[in-house]
Amino acid sequence: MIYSLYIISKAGGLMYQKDFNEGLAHLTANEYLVFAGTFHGVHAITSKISPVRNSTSSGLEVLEADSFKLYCFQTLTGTKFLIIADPTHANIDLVLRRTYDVYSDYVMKNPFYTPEMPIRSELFDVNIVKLIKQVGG
Amino acid sequence: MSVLPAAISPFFTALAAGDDATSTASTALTTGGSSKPILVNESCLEFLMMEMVDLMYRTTADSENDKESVFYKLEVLGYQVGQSLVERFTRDRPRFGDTLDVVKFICKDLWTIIFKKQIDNLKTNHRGVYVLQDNNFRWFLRMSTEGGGAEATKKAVPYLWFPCGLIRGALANLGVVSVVIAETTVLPQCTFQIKIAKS
Repeated sequence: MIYSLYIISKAGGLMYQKDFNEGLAHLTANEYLVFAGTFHGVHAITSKISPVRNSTSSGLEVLEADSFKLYCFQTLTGTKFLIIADPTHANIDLVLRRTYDVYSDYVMKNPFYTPEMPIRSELFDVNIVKLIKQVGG
Repeated sequence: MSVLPAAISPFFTALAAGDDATSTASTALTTGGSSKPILVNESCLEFLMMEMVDLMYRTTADSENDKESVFYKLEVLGYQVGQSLVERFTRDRPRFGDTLDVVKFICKDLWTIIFKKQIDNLKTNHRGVYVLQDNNFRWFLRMSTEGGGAEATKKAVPYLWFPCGLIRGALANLGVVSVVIAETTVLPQCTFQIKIAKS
């Protein structure tokens, strides 16, 4: 079961947030923004503290806890896609890739969208919901 | 301004299946003897089309109140591209019987080349007015605003001006003088109205 999706811009601002299932605490809009900024900072730190010498680290990819698993996919352009799901859900990597597909189709190809701004597109919402339902969220 | 149509035509020609056009702007459209068609990434064309409308708004002084200028620029751009396109794609066809045949060619062949589908509905009053309806206009498939509905429809109208010019240019080069108007009620549907000048 997929709990929620976050999309964070390359500057650390929250572009998109959606809850799909109950199970996570409800936050205010401001708290979502703080969460995104904090995660952006933590991700930047983790990409620099890899203990393996001379390696280029990818930064935080999976964060596992008792009651949830957080997956992060950072694109080559610096946009981060986060999915928080229950620990038993498999193939979240694939879901993140397909979310990226939907993003590049309905956000990047939408002439009414300004890059790095919050995403306000009905078609994007509809297709994300359809995707998450399809992968059993 | 005249560089842009020359740059756009090769994109359209390369999208047509089995075409051996090069994708560079400066060279001629056919390379005789090459066996494999060189294809252009469709996303490139989509992004170019999106940016084209923005460009016209940016380069028009006082574009808020001067929609006519933006319309004129996009329409004339489409006109030139349309002329070149029909020059290219009617090469191996038999001659057209009458104006209706020309319009049918635009609905079927030209629309398939540019938008990979045909016009869904063609209506005429047999007195020089044709209405072309596309129920799933390719350039509208990704357009969406937060509220959807009327706001998105209003913002999408400038993206129809280039296709208007395309149709008018195509008709003109085939010998039919016309005026083309476009409108849309609900995305992704749109309608083009062609009024043929009386000869």
